[in-house]
Amino acid sequence: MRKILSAVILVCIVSGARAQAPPRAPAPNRDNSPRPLDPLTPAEQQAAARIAMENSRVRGIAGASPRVVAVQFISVKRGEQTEPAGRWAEVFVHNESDGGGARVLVDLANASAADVISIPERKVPIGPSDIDAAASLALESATVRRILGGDAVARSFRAAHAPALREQSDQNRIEAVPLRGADPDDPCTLHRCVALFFRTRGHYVALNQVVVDLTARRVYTSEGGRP
Amino acid sequence: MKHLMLVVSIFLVATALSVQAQSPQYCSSPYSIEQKFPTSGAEVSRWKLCWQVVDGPSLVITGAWFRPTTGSQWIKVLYDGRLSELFVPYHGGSPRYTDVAYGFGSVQLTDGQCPTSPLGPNKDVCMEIRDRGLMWMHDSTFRRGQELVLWSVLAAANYNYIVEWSFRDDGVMSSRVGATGQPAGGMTHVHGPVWRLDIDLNGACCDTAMQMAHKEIGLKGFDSMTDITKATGIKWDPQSYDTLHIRDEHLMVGKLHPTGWMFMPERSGTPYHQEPFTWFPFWVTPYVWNETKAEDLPTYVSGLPSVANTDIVVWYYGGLHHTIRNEDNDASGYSQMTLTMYEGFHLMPFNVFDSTPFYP
Repeated sequence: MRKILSAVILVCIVSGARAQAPPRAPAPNRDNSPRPLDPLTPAEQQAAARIAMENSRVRGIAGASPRVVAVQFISVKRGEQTEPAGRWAEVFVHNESDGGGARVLVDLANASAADVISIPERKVPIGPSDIDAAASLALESATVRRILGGDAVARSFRAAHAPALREQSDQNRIEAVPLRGADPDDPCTLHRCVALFFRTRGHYVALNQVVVDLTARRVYTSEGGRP
Repeated sequence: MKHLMLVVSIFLVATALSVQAQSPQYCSSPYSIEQKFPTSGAEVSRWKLCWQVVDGPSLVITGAWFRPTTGSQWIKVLYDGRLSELFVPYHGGSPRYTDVAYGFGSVQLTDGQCPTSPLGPNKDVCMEIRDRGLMWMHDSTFRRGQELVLWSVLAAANYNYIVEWSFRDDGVMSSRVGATGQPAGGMTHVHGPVWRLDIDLNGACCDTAMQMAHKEIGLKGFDSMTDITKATGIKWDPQSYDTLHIRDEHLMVGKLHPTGWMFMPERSGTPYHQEPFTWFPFWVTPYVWNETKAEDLPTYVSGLPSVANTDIVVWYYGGLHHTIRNEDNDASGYSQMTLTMYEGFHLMPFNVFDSTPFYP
């Protein structure tokens, strides 16, 4: 009887401990599944992109040639759920043919698009495939090739999607930075534009001389040297 | 024997639940960090946080909790803190870069760059415990302070940005951005980081920001504290010691004084550019999941939504003025390396401790 009483007292202590617990603290993940604030796994990123692209509203916004530009982790507070819970992703989809796109909140736990927002062309983020497109457009330009030192040298440049590792520091890289226009006459005020930075043997050449308007698929160059 | 097993089982369950109660597991290792202060000896204070590296903002703090003393409750401070944008307009009017918008990756750090060995699967975060100098002193008595510092490096083409978050033993949380790398030519420009801070004091509900301002009339100084009740941008006057205090309706510790954190800028100037989101160093908006883009701040405040006693987000826009000098270039004027310049802020406890922390 005394032992049972001890057990009851212990249960009461446990209940007290639970009462002090922060609200909705998730249980330990014994199965190694990600916790609410862990980064998205590659499988979750793929699932988020798929869920977004399958959503009818997204398809309506993104048109006949939709393209996922970015998938990012996000932690969302919704209704009474104000502590981190579930698994969420934010997906940006670009409408390549008509411009604009969709910003999609994906609830990974329920495999659904929780919110879909239409965004104008300029607000669609620049993604790695945009850098590939910008680099290709730039290298088609005879002016750009001349700035880089001729056709042979220009052909050795490749679009870069990640910071240069030490062993890559001698490679000829094309890096890109998003650019915004300063006045209404500047096409980059409404369009998606990037400035291309050409890097060779760890140094930049042709800085601030090549801008690519991804929306209009045009290349602008200035040969006056560095500003 | 049966009773003994029952008691042992209950004890094991109790232990597990107790651990869960003290330690909400919102993130896994290595994204979960707990640090006690002082780092050796009896514990006084403790920080607990979750972090991630996200393409674009680089190091993001996805949750921060502070416990001022071993006997006190954890206080939630931050739900999410990150760079929303890094706007770099050049003095000639063009180019005007947005260095967070692309989603640049972060630099894989070496042991030379990060002496404590980089964290994470991509080895792109460094965690250090730093001596932060004298916490307090008077004549022969003194105490040196410590801080936990996490940093990563956003690789934005020719520039590298050191994105640093610090958590001090006295409850101060800071962030700063350091610009370095190879300058793009010889034109002076500004690096304008915009932080988005989803501050959830004591949880999401019931926070209010107040603007503290100082003025002198005759021989006397006067301070005012004004509640910010509608979403807005707020000017910063260096002669007024303008700071934002963030308080929670229900957060009062031992002495039952209103408790919060004060937002203190550390800035060298205020660059107001043509773009409206740069017209105010401070912005206060209500939490909305998709209101995360600095350039849309004027839209977020346009309907004057309430920011009183609710879930609020504080935005801070800073500006590093980078005047090109010989030290940026080689003898012929060709770009070499910009020496690191920092810009940032502190969030400082206000009535979080009942007395001077770490004293005597």
